[in-house]
Amino acid sequence: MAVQKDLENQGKVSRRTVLAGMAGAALTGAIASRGLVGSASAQGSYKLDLGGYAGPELTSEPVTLRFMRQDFTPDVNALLEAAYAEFKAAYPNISIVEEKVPYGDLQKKLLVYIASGDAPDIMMGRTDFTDAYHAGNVALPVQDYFSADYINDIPANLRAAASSGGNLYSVPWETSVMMLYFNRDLFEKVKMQTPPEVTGLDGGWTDEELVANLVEMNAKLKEAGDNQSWALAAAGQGNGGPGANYSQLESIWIRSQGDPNAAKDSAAYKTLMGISDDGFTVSGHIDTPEAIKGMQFYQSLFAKGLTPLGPVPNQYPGGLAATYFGGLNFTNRFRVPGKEPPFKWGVSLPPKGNIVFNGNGSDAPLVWSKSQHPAEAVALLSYLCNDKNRLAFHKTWGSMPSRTSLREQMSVFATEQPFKMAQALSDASYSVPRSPGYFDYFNAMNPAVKDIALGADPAKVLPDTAAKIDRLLAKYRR
Amino acid sequence: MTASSLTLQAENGIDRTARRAAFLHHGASILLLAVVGAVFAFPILWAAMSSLKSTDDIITGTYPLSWSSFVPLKATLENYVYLFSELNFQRNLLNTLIAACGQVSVAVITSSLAGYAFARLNFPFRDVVFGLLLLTAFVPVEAIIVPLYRIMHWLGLVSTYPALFLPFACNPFGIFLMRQAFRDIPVEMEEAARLDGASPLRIFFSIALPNVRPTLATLVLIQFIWSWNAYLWPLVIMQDPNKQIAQVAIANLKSIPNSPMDGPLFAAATAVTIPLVILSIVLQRYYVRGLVTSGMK
Repeated sequence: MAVQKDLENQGKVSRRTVLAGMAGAALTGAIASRGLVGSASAQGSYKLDLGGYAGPELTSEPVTLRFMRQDFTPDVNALLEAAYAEFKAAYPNISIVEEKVPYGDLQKKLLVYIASGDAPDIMMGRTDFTDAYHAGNVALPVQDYFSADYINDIPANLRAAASSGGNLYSVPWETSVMMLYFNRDLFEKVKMQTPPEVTGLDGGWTDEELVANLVEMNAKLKEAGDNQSWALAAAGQGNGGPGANYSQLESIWIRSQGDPNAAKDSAAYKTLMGISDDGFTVSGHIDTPEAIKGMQFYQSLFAKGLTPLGPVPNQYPGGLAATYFGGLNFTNRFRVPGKEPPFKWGVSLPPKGNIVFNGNGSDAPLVWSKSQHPAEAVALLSYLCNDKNRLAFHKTWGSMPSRTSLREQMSVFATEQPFKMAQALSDASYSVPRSPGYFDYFNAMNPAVKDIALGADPAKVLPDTAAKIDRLLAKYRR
Repeated sequence: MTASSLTLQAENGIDRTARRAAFLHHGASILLLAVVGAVFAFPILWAAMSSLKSTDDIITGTYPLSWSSFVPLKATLENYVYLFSELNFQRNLLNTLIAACGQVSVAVITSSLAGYAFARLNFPFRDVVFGLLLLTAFVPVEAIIVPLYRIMHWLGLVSTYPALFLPFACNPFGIFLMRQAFRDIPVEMEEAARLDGASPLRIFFSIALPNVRPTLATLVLIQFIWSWNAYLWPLVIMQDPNKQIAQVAIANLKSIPNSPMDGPLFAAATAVTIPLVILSIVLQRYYVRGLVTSGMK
């Protein structure tokens, strides 16, 4: 119950957080009761700090490990290359062959590799597809190889997102938070109050307040003769613009209308979950009155001319939008001396429907289920996830750490508003709707959201899309 | 005024009118072509101009559109320096060139030999085989990517240069193009050579091939462009970053979230476009003639 206790200590106990804690504890319990969690006593005998690895000693035979990941900026790539060199120095018999794939093509290439029976030992996956990795026997259950302390260090909701059927299938590499960034200069220019800069989940704008404030902002900008700036920047996720990335962004508008405390058979609860318990039915979940209401708010952003109808790259960092939905990376990027944006900025919560919703789907490396060297692959992955390597990564890349102890070692999470708020959002975050067919779900929702943004009636589009997704998911029942 | 001078004057008048009409027609054609050319050239020129701006200038100047969106007010070569020093992009360009040259070479050999066989040699089920071959042109590479990968794996060619182009050695479009070109050569020329005792191979190399040079140039250009712009197959089959082609490397630049690399991205797009533009200008005369003579136009 360590996770639950941590959450209680932070003074943010709700039924949701308790349930999340219990789910995590149950998962840990299930793993431990099966004798799968590695013994912490095994740690320390390795030739370098392998993080939470508690599996067997690594082979002395020559081994080549393949690792497929996305490309990062050169400074982050350099960190990883230095880490490989350190690993190779400790284990000269283990060679690491790295493959860098454009981010948008990672899952495509992973699927081709799996279908071809020739996949890398470690692949960068996403927690969004955990159930697919489980159902397709893509990923190795890795809890056997980690210490209980390490597994417990991953917050319960993130651990649950990376787990399926009682097994941990990937190691959350970072986590996702979506915050409302604002341009303080533009708010000052039109003499409007900025969104509340809170540190917890209370006090942010509601859907209605967001739309009303953006309408006012739009009118005042035009009054002031500013026809260039927008009240809300075009989405920068995915391909940008409406329907950019349902998992990270647009699901906020639907799922925030749900209620975790409602009865399980209620529309409010189903709206939050986004799919049936068995992961095969979305009718009655994404087409509820609550979901339609959420999408009507979303549609009004476009109908009222508050945000562009198509993608506009870099609108917010260019200083041409009053608000923007973005991750913690922006906070970190804007704080780098010499890289500050050309305006004063701040962050607030995403708009609250019935609840403040945040999706935690994020990158998570997995070990191929048919890897010839599973222990060595997990050891390398665990080494890359040790404190030293992870802290260096997060400080350079700017993403949100997925482990509690890492956040504790980064003082900003205790002292600075954007980080405190990001932590609160992460602690209360939800995984994507759980289904082995989430890839189909996601690919159907993005164009539906785009259609709604461009004027289609949510009351028609959502039921049609629900029926379509139901048909797509039917094949996963087999 | 005599009748003949009147006739001459009338003829001169008609001549002037015709000349004026021809001039106007010619001028209008040039103007239309210039507009069409500008429309096609605009994105390339915009990318080239943007490559001379810093990433920050690109971000702040993209929207709303103004002169500064197109013209680099503070021109810099920093993107190219970064691209060719930090990112070693010349390596990716070289890999693309190797793949393109490989594909052009094998496609020219196989397409001309197969095209000649389908055009001139008589063998059982020739037309059926040709029809089946053409059918394969309608199968997208996405549909066969897994079996293709498995074959390459079985051959031990994954992550090698030959794997980039060998699967496209048999090219239905190329074979069709060459077959049409060989069919246009008068049969009498080959019969004369045969009467002189030339073997089929000798006829192929000495009579047939020299007469389809424009079509060969067309084939070279088309294969080069296809290979140069290939993305999905190199993405899948190439694992070694040192052998990865330029198009995939460019996609990597675009896919780094929250860390815009627009400047190097435009520089890379420009660098990868220049060879194609040069090749198209050099070979465009042959390209048009080749399409005309092969009956494609």
